[in-house]
Amino acid sequence: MGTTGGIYSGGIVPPSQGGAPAPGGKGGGQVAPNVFQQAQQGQTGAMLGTAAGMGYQPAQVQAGQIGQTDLTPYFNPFEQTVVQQSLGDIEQARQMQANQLASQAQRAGAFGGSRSAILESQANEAAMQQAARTAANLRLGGFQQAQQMAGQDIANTMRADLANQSAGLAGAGQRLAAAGQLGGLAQQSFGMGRNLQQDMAQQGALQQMLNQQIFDQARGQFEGYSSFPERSLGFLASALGAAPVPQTQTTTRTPGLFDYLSLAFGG
Amino acid sequence: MSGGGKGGKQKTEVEIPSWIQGPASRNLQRAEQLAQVGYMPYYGPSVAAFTPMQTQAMQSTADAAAAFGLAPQMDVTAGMPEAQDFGGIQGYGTGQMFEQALSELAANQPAQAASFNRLFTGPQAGGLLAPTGPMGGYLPPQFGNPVLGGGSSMPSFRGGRS
Repeated sequence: MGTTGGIYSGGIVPPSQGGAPAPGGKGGGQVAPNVFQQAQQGQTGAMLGTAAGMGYQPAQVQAGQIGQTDLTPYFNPFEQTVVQQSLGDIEQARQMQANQLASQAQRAGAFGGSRSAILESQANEAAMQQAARTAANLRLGGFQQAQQMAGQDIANTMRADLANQSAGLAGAGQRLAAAGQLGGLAQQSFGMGRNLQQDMAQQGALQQMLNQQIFDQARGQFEGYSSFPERSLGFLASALGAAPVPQTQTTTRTPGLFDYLSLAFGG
Repeated sequence: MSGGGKGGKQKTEVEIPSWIQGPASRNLQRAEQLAQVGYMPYYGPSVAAFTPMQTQAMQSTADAAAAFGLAPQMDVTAGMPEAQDFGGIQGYGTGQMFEQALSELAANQPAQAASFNRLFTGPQAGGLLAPTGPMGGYLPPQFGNPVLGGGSSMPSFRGGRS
């Protein structure tokens, strides 16, 4: 059977596919959809939907890991510039301090002496330590910030994946419920059709029975007609049985030889 | 009752009244006439046909079976004899089948059929006491039937729809 039209498209089942004329229709081509077609299509749809639901696989959620994450996109692209700028500032401060120490040593007449050299060396060492700490702190901060941002992204991705998984499961459940509802409607349609069918058969049987009774009465009348002459033969017997029939019995006797002898001898 | 011989004779008679003798005699004569009439077939309807409601219910059952793939699309009236109209009521009569059977009998056993039919008066004989015809009261359809007219045929059967 084709499924052109039917409940899915909201179309009309043509008579060739079992559609019945719509009530009150006057041959305008409109036919009511056959309820059994609807039941069949509903059942098929419900079975397909249920089978699809049985095979549904929810989306897999994989937890992200920092250790397997490329942190490059999370680093500040200007970090190197910041570090270089900070080291430059330290170098500039170191040079200014070296100039001050040299100026003080000149004023004290100790420029080029060992004391001056020691002070300059201490200033340089302090500047180098400062530079090292500054660079390390800047890079550490950048790394920690990148790590934190990557962790947030991993968490966001995890939440999104879980939400999608839940939505998928909810959708699958909704489709299964719809398939079940469709199956129920199909069963309802089938039962409704069967009830109407039985009603039609019963009413038709009543009509046929009435027609048969008319035929039987007509035949009985004919048989009464055709058998009437035969039955009329019994009218006389019935009448005789109902009325007393007088009978006359006559006995006559012709005398014989002995009769005469007896009469002669006085016997 | 009578007796005789050397002792003489004695006779006893029972007399039936004349007003009974007449009707009884005519009754016997009438019975003889009626026996000549023979069998009177019935050509009226015997079985009521399915009503449109029944046919539609059957068609609906067939359509339902077809919808679920249990049977091909079919016409439930296929193979059923076409009903005849008897005064506005659809039904079937067996008169034509009866004639068909008589015709078959006459064709296959003509002597026996003729011998049987000569025993009785037929409608074409013109009266209860008229001489019987060659085939008695029942002529096969091919000879024409005074009751049904020309040759009758068996009920036609409708073919199935595609």
